[in-house]
Amino acid sequence: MELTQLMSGLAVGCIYALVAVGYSMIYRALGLVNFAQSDIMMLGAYIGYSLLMAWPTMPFWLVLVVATVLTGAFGMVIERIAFRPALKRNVDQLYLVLLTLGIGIVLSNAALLIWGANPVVYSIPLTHQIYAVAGYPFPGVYVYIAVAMPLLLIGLQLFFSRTWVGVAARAVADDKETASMMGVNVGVASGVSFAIASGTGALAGVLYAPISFVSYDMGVIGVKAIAAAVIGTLGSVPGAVIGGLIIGVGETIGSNLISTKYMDSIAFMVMIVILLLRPTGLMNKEVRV
Amino acid sequence: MKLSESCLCSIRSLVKSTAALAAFGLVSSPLSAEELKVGFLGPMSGPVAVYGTESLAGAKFAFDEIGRSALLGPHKIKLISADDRADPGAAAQAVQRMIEVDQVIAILGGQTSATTAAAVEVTKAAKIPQLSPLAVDPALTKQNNPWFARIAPSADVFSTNAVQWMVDKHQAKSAYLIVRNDNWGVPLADAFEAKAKELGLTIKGRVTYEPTAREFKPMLSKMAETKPDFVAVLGFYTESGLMVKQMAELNIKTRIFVTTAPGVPQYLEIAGPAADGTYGVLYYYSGSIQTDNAKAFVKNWQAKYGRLPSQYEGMGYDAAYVLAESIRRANSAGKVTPQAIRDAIFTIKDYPGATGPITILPNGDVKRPLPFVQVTGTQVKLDYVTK
Repeated sequence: MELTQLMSGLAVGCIYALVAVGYSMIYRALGLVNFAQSDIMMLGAYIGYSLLMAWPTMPFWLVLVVATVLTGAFGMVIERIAFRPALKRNVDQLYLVLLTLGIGIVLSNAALLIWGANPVVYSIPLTHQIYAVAGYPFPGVYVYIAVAMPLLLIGLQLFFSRTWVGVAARAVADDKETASMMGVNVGVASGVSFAIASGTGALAGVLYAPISFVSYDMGVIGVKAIAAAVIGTLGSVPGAVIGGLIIGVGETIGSNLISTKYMDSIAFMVMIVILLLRPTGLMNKEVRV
Repeated sequence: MKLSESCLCSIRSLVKSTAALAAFGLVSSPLSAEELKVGFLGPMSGPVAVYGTESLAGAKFAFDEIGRSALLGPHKIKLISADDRADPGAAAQAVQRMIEVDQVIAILGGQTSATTAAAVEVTKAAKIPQLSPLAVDPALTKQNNPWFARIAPSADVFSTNAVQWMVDKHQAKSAYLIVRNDNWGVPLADAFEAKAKELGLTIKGRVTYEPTAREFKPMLSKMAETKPDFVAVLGFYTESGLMVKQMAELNIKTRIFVTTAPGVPQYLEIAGPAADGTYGVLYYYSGSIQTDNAKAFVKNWQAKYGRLPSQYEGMGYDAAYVLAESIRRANSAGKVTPQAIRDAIFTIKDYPGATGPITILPNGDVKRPLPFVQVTGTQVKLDYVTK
């Protein structure tokens, strides 16, 4: 297997990882798998597209930042109007899962209405830019992925360990009642979790757009991100990253070893094998930032 | 008075002469003025909406022209369209509704093979003629169904011509097939392999992928190891675009054939500069047909939209004209009934369509030219046209 393929596996693995981080954060905060997460990624990708349509010369790093912030704000709004009222009424978990599925369908259909059925492509040189590094072709967007991933992880680590809001969000995730008694605003903490998860999803969408294209049904890759989050123990941010990379690289290696025909199944075969060996995923519950 | 077959050499001359004769009272319509409802079925939303929206635009353009002419005498066609979302279940329901509620006398559609197969079950039972502009699955015309015909070549024809073109025009000795696992890709691949065997083109490998796939690098790397003269991507334009782009990222240099993808602008956007040099075969390539009808169609379309018609717009346009011509023949024979229209469809021979001469064969298939093209820079250039 060539180095080029391995890099490609790592790049796609990073995208899975970013979506998986969103799944894990919401699970950590609310004990819930937010099935709308992959559609939020799609929304972020479309916001990036609209930004580039409006300001074609906008630098890509700025598109990443603005789309992340806007989608994060949208996530906060979704939490405020859809989830918080349901949580206040202590509704059944099944209801919440259906709520996330419903939000995902609404987002997908809204994108279809706003941006149309045909796939769209970021009209920037980066989309088709290929560098030659030591004789190997290296797509330009990989540079952004390689920079954005560690920055995001360091940023999240600092946010959750050094800021009051971050510590409060962790406290709420660990024990909502006690945190509330200690004066932590539970609503704000859950809103922050949604904002970060949505922003991370948008980051994934905007980084994935130059690799592929943007379409209202691009959320299908979210299925593999759920597998990544489960592999890395749902609720663990570092675990989600490790899970994403395992799936991305595993798909590449697996399809070389077994058959490319089964590439899509390999992600889940990897998940099943890991869960058989470690039923709670690769991370300890304690190591989840 | 009956119009002679020679008048069919040009639709416009026919329209003009009919109008002139009608003005002098020399043509009498056997039936009184009537609104004839025709159903149009295709995906107007979803990932393959381009097939439905563009084919419908072409059909509407044709029916507008026909409405302004005297081709159908006093009769007027009312087009009723339905969005099947490329979903066979939705297609069957839509056709059922159009037949029972709207009482259409014919159906134009579907645009994809799966939805057409679903619709055929309904039109066959209801004895309503169905004419598809784009469906290619060979199975559609292998069921002795007298109510179905198409102006699109079957996958067999697409593939056998593609193999012939690779061998004759490009002296290819081997090919590798990457196939969409559905009833568009698999019949194309089966027919391709059969013809390749006949002509001695070595198939170095065949691999299928699921329609939701977006990452193809492992399968492309394996393909490159076999060093084929041609890689044939038998899939939709989205996947073809991604594969061509990923081949550039893997530095794979081989001749690439991507079926009908070059006719879709999004293919060129997705593949980017890597699309340069890739080949394809289109249903229709504007400019490849040099008849008066074809030139007039391109000129009128450009005058209205400021651009050339796409392959799907051309096919929708010709399907509408073939149906209108069948209605005219049924009317001339004294009755505009579904049975008479069906009978007339099967008499279409060397019809001077804007996309080339069209002959409906006894099994419902079509004989028509196929243009092979090559992407050159950002333009699609004609490479070869089959007779």
